[in-house]
Amino acid sequence: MNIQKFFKRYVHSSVKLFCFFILVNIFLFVSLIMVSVSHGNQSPTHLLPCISDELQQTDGQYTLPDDIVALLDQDHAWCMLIDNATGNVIWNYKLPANIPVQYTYGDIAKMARWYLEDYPVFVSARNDGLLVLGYPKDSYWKLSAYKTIVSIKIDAIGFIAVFFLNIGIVLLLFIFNSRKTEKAIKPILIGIEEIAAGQKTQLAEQGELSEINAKLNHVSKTLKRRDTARANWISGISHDIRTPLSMVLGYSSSLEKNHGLDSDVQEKMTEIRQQAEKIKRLIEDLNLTSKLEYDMQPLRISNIYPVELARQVICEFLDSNLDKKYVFEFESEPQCETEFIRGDEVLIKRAITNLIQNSINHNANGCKITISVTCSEKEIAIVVSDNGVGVSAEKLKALNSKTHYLESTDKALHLRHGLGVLLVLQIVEAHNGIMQILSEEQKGYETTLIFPKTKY
Amino acid sequence: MGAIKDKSILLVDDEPAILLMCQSILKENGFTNILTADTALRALERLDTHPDLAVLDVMLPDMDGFMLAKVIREQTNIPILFLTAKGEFDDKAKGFEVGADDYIVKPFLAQEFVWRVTAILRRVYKENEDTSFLLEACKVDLGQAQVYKEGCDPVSLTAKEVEILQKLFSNAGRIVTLGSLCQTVCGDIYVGYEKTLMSHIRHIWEKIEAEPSSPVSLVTVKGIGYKLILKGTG
Repeated sequence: MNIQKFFKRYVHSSVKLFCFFILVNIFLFVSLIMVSVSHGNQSPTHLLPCISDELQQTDGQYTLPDDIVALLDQDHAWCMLIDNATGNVIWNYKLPANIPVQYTYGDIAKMARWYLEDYPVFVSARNDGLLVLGYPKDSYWKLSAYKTIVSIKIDAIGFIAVFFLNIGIVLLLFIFNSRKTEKAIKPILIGIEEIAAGQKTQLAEQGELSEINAKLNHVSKTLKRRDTARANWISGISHDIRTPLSMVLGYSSSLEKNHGLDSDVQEKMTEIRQQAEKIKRLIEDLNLTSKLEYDMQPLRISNIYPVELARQVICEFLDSNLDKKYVFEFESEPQCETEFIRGDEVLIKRAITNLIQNSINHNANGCKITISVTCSEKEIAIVVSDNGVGVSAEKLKALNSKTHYLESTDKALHLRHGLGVLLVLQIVEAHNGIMQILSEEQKGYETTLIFPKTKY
Repeated sequence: MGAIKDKSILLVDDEPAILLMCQSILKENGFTNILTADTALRALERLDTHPDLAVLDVMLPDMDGFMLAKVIREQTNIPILFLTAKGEFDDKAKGFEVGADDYIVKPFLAQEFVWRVTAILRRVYKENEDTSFLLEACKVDLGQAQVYKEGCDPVSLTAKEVEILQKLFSNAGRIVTLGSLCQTVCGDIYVGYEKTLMSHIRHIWEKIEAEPSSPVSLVTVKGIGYKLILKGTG
């Protein structure tokens, strides 16, 4: 979605730029014409009528006012008047030597159109003769153009049409090109998005941007490898710790039941056993959470019955010689008995276990732990609550907004969720469920896990 | 119970300390006949002495424990219990695939280990096992389906009642959930089981309890399940 938007914006801005380019061109063109025109205003077309008007004949003598003469001198121009009847030059001003002094009609027609002995000349008819204004060689270029009316029309319309057609073609080419770019870049952007979301990406390594695709694939592989290494590292540690921990747990649990020992020693053994069990749970949680985090734990989906599942978890606690200060209560509605969800039994069991364990851990003075299962049309909720110490409103807020354990760069470890509860959140999310925490200081702690029911 | 404790158990683990610990745990719990082996080869040699149960680690220096289980299975039908640090689902699946009877993941509690060993032995060698047990107010003989109360005529149990008591007895001292009791009583069907189960339980109470209205041997754990408490263990 964002990628489409990006390209739309790109096309828009490019079209704007193109329009700007056209406008600048029009402006430059108009300026050019204006400058050119300003340099052409002393042209023969301007001077010729002046001379024609000012050339006076008095007593058979032609005179030209001084200011006009000055203009002529400035341009190094010359002038002559050819008599209409005889074709003889009857007056001239600075006539070059190689210019003839008599002209036929043919000569006149030729020079009116073109040059006279390579001098660009301009003519103007007077009633006493033909006034000829000549400029130095190579100072003017004379053009002669004539077109049919139809041709002129075609030219004018054609010019406008070609102009707009050009704009259209440029735009089309441009859009085509950006489409092509979009096609090449889109998979790359999708790949980057996937990598950002922590997924694996595999792009086809071909086309214009194949190098970038190959690099992205490499990055994705490297990241995945790093994740795998991290998960394997954790799993390795948790494996290696099992044997030594077995010794601690096995001996302490055996010795705490040894009636030959002092009750004092037995109590210490119980303490060792409990702590060893805590380590055991911790490494199990750590292992599982890293596997879920890096998608290395495939869900083993089956039909699971939350009511019976909750019972089994409670049984495990009741059978584990838990201190009598922890009292369990189980509530479920009869119609929930046959309700099931699709999920991973081991994981959901783990989630409930961790929540109960959490209540036990935080209430060293004992508490009543209530587990209830309720169901509605669309979902099944498993609620684990206690009447223990609870947490303050701020702490609750912090718990609800904490980032993921493995993603957290927060050094304030104590403010984080315990690993066990985070694992619960991961498990719930893996089942498309939600976790809600309610708590009030000294009034208890309640966690609700809501799982969607699957319809068949 | 004497017969169970006399069974010989073969422990196989490459870690001598674990072998020593398991041995001491079993000995403390009355098991006397314990063999150990720290390699698969030695374990196979020990098979000549015909142990009654093999407890195997998966990671052995000379052979994969799963492989060893396969080899053992080819020679004998004794129960196999895996005791290993490999706790992944796939590992467990593999364990049961090669014919394991149970699978314990390290680290483990001494008690749990003993329970599981006892449970397997009891299940496998039940023909020699006493199917009768003592409760607070009576003696129950599941083989004969009879309840003997002092000063009364023996009372007989129905087939369903025997099944329920069997289930509770094999988990004596631990809670059996309503769901798993129901499976015993009516297969896999959950619907409406609770009433059926309740009526069975009421009948059992009348037969085994001194005060059926306040049971002490077959106790209810509200909403969860039932627990059978043998005489002298409560």
